[in-house]
Amino acid sequence: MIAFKFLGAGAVAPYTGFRWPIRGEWVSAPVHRADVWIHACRLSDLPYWIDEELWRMELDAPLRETRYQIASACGRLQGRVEGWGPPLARKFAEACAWRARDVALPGLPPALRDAIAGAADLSAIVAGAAALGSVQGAYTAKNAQQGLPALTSYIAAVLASSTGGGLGAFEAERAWQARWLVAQLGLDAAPHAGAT
Amino acid sequence: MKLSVPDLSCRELVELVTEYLEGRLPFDERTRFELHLGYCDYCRTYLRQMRQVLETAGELTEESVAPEAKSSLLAAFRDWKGGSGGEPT
Repeated sequence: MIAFKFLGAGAVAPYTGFRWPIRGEWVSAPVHRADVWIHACRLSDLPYWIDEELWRMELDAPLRETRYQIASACGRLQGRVEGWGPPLARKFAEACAWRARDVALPGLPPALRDAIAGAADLSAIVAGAAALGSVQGAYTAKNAQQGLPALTSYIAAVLASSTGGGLGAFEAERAWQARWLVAQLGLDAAPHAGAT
Repeated sequence: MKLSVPDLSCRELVELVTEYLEGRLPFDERTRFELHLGYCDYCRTYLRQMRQVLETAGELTEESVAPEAKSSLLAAFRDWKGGSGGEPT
């Protein structure tokens, strides 16, 4: 199965510190220890696990599919998704901040709503929100400006959840983010020609 | 306000960090733990520090502690238990 994996700089797993071999060598975990299996993303899982590097990977059976990720006892990196880097990460964060703005608008006090609705860029949202005492609004826009995609996208999903939709709205916002990433990166989960 | 998210709070993560590092969290709980780490730099830093503490402490044996240090530590624990009698602050 073809999946994807976000890693830290240098193909290092962000929580375990494991350095993944980048030349396609298989990595295995004990089949009877599902708690230490290799984790990866389906396309719909991508926004939950954002990190510095994105890699295409191949997983072998046995597989365990769960709500937000997929796990396998055996996997290998197939190649880095070169389109994912600081420029696109910033662009993604900004897209999420604008989504958060649109979700928040109906519930804002009139003065703040007018200031933010008319903002031409994120700097204007930061300034408008700060001037009118909206710490959350300023914080969200500022994170996007700083190119923090994981945090900004999470905030956008939380905001969707908090406006009444609960977990369903949270996941719907994550699904929108996944579609944005897939479209921008031109990803598909079909095996690539030449992959063995 | 109806707020529902799939991950943990920072406070919950702190409570579970030892079980996480020892590999004792069930799969779903570990997923919630790591979903939180995905966007929270503060908790990532905390996890890194805790991992370092465990790695460093794991190299210590009873014999490697100097007698004076051992006495001081035992005295400190005795005073702590015999002091306020309440929770550590």
